[in-house]
Amino acid sequence: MGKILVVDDEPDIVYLIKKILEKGGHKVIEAYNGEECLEKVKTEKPDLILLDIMMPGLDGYDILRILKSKEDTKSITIAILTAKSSDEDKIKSLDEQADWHISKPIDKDKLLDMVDWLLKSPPRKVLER
Amino acid sequence: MGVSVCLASGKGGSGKSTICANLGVAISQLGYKTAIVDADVEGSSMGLIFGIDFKVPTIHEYLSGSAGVEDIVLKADGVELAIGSVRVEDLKDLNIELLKNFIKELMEKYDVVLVDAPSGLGIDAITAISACDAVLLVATPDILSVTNSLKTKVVAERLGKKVLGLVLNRVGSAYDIPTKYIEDIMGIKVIGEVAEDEEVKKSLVEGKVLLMRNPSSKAAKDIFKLAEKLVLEYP
Repeated sequence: MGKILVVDDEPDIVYLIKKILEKGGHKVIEAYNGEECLEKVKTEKPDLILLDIMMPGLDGYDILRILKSKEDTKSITIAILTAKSSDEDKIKSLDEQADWHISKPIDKDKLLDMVDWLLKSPPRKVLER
Repeated sequence: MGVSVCLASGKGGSGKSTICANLGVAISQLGYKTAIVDADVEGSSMGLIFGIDFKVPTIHEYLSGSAGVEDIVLKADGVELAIGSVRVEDLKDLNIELLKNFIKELMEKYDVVLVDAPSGLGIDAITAISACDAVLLVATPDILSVTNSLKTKVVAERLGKKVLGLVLNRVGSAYDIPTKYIEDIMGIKVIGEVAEDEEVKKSLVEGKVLLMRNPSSKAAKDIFKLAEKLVLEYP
């Protein structure tokens, strides 16, 4: 079981994902924008971040770049969880060094299964740019 | 008129050429007249895999206009193949566009033409993909290989090619990305999984095709299964 930070500007989605993950036995922390995400990463030190892309202010890719460029946060596993689901979107996530890209909508069993795999897998090595 | 399938991968090290050679032999053993084309003109390895002396005429001679199709197609292990040269000086004055004519001509004589494309998305790889009817992607189950194969899939689809699926090679590590997640992110089916197998390396060292040298090895059986699936699903 892991400590998972769910980051999305839509409260309904955060609520839904939180319920699913809690049923799977995970501890869930919420953030509703990029700034709050960075703050929660500092105070809560999550094992995994499920990160939306389209948010006002800092978007998911901005957060990804910030967290993957800092020594103390680059080894946190980050999966993009987004409605942007084209091949180009997936390539962008992986090129930005996300550990994985999950397309919404996703059913609850699949999400729990993927989260278990991500928590077990070592984070990818981050390459400096 | 036969069908041409380009084996492509987003990055080197996926074992694409080994899969291509063995898959060709397996398809031929299933009764299909099969040709293999080494289109990886800057990194030819088909001669090495089949243990063929590089003194024979190669596809480089066809691409430089000094040989015809009949001059360079050889017989080995039940397939007919055009190997590439490994000599740096043979890279001069190649017209890679001629590859399209070469494959077209082979398609008139063979049921299946397998084309071993260079890794990546350089002009040679794009030409090989463009020259074929369909694309079979080969990747290893890691994030770098999957990301690059996804890029190759996008390019193949933009070129209007049918992507038959993905072959995962060198499978068997605890660090492998599970197949179901690879299918999920790639948006295509994994149609074959080939185990990591020391026998593959032994075959390369000995210059013998794995399917001929050790058909009962795990990797050989996996490739044969892939061949059966391909001819069944895409007759």
